[in-house]
Amino acid sequence: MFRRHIARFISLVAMVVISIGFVSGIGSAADKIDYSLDNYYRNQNVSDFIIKSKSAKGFTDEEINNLRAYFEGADIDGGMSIDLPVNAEEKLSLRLYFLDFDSWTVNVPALIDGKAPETVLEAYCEQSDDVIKGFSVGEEVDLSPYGFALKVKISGVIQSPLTFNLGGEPSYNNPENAEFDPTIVGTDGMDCLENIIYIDKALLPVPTGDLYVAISDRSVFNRYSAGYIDYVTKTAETLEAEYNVKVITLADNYSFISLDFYSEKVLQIGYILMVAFLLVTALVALSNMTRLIDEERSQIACLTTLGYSPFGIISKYILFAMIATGIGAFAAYFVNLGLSYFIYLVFNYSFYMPAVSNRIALVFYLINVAFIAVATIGATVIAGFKMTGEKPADMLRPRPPKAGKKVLLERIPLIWNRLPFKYKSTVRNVFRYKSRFIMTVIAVAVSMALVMAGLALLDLCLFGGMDSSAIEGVAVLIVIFAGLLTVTVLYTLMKISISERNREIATLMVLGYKNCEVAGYMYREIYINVGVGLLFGYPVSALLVWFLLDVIVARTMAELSWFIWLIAPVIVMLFTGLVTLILYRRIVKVDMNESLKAIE
Amino acid sequence: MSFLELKGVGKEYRTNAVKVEALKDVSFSLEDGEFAVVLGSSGAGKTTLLNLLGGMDDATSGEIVLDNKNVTSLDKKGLCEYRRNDVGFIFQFYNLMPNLTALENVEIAVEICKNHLDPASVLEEVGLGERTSNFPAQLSGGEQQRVSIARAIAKNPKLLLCDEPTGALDYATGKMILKLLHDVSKERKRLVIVVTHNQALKDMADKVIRIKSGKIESVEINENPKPIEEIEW
Repeated sequence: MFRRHIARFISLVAMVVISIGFVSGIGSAADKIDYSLDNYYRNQNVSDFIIKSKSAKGFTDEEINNLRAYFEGADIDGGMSIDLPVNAEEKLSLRLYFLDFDSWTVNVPALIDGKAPETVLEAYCEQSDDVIKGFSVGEEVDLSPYGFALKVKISGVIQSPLTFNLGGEPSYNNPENAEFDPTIVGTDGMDCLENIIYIDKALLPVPTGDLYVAISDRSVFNRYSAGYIDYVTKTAETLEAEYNVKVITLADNYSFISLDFYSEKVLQIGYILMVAFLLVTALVALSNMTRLIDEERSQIACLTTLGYSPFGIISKYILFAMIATGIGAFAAYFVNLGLSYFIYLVFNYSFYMPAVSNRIALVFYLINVAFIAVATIGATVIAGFKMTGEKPADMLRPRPPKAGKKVLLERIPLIWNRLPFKYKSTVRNVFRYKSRFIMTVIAVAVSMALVMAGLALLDLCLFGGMDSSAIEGVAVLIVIFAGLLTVTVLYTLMKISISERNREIATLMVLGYKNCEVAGYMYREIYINVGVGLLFGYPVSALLVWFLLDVIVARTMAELSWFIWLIAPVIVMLFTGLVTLILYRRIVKVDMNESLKAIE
Repeated sequence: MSFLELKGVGKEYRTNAVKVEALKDVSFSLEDGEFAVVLGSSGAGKTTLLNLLGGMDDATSGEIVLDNKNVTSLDKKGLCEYRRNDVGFIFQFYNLMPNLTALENVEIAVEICKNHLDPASVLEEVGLGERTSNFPAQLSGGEQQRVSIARAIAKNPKLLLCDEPTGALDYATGKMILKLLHDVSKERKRLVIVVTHNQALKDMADKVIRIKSGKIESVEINENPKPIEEIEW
């Protein structure tokens, strides 16, 4: 049975792989980022609080003891940090940390280049990125903090867990109420750090003005959830009320906020696209299985007359659906894996991403699989039981061909009479197979909407100044996968149509129609179906794009370039052309003897 | 030279190492305006012969010449032209386009022909003048086959090929269809070949070609063919 319906089987598998793989890939990418960041922060013992004393003399011993008691069991390092303005015009500052290199337990950096300082005159510097200039190992730097003139030599380059956004790090010299633009979370207009130098605090008699606190009970706050943010924000408020301090938490950390922001966006995009992808897949899978059972009409009739139970007969088809969905889901798992790693990789264009976690989040994946399985197997069961519910005598007779009917257009003689004959046939055919027509229209409309979604996001990045390579990467992926889905959907629907109309095709050939004319007979219908699908695609696209833009990136459709509204249907048309090309062989390979064979 | 001449026609199918000779050394000739019946039971080679005469397949050996045109030497394009203009095929299962009216079914066939007849008139001639706007589903089996015949005639072909034309019809209707075919043959002076397994039809033919196991068993000439009304089976 599988051999007979191999094309159906493969179509089903392909659609499952594409849609589930893509959607769960996006969803689990966000989780992967969360897991990786979580590991990183734990490994590097990132500070949950940086308590900066507002007093020029720094913390008193009493204050330090109180705070140590307050944060019972936490790791607390004492140090100092100041941001020296370097360039007022360009808004750049230089940060100097004064730390105890022998007891560095919080915000432990990774050594990228060089080695640890051997004398107090040697120091670390932060790794360069798009804003931070960095130094080379061995370079000597002139500094004048607190009125002292120093020359330190850079012995090693490090990567701090507090600063991994490639877009730099805002300095302390920004206004108290400075906030990130909520739509892009960028550092435009802010005073940023040109460099960060980590100096041994033994070099200068600086007071302890900073306390870096890493709380011990990490297990309570997995993955920097809302509960965590809540906790640190409240604690900061409490401390600021009780002591003369400024408390900086991860909720203020640019790198953390921006990474969280963009991974959240990717997740939200995933949620929205999930609906569209799953809808199309479920619809086409439904159509596929229903028509398969229809084709098997006489087989089912035979088995029924032989006395097989309905369930016994249908179980074969249920198995077919289950195996197809199963294989598709299995392959989709790897697409999921690959995509989530790929998206993680794309984030490397904007961040020094921590080592990727191998942990897999399966929630998205399992939800998608469940949905598709229910749709596909459900359709099979329903169609199957409907079929076996018919009287065997009726089933054994070939299904009466659907009666031809006059179409609405015929009532407009002005148009109908002018229509070349071949189009009359096409128009009638299109309306004859109503459910297929509707199916194709919906599938094409949603596919076009998905392509539009990808193009819209891409447009915003390339021309709209959104400047996030993460979103760009995801946009490209959307266009690719929407394209794959469109091709698969079109191929599936067309292929089934062709094999169901073998007899007509064979008859036309016997009547002396040339190959291209026979193909044209089929293609005209396809293009009309797709054309109508594209027309409906516009409102569906507008809806999806508006939703995507409004909810996720807080932009309006007016900001999109006008031409992407033309590119999307062109892309879908190109794919249609591609599929018709692939199917040409199948059409012309039809054996003329099909016209001589008995009905069904 | 006869109007239709078959000389040593053979068709061989090869699947892996197995060779099947569906037709072997088939030779016969027919004249224009004749009503011929090819008789053979299942598996005798009727379908293969139909394929070759209908331009749907190539012979592996021998020659088929229709009105001085060597059909066997035609390439794919030539065969398509042959099917288009020279042959009118009448199927056992009618094969009408289900969503075209009777008239449109004839139109779709003649649209591509060079020298076709007027579809409406031909439908009138087969007695379906009142049913031209009906769809196949609204026509009886006999009426559908008449549309099929009209479709074939309207192409104005040199040869009318009928594959078990009464196979799907009841006795009375079947007889009516055969009468129509016979009339077409005589009144329009067309060569009509009916391929069937029904022995009773041999009496109405001008020539009876018996085919068995891919070979011609006999070619009989009926000096006095019986009218179909007198034939019972």
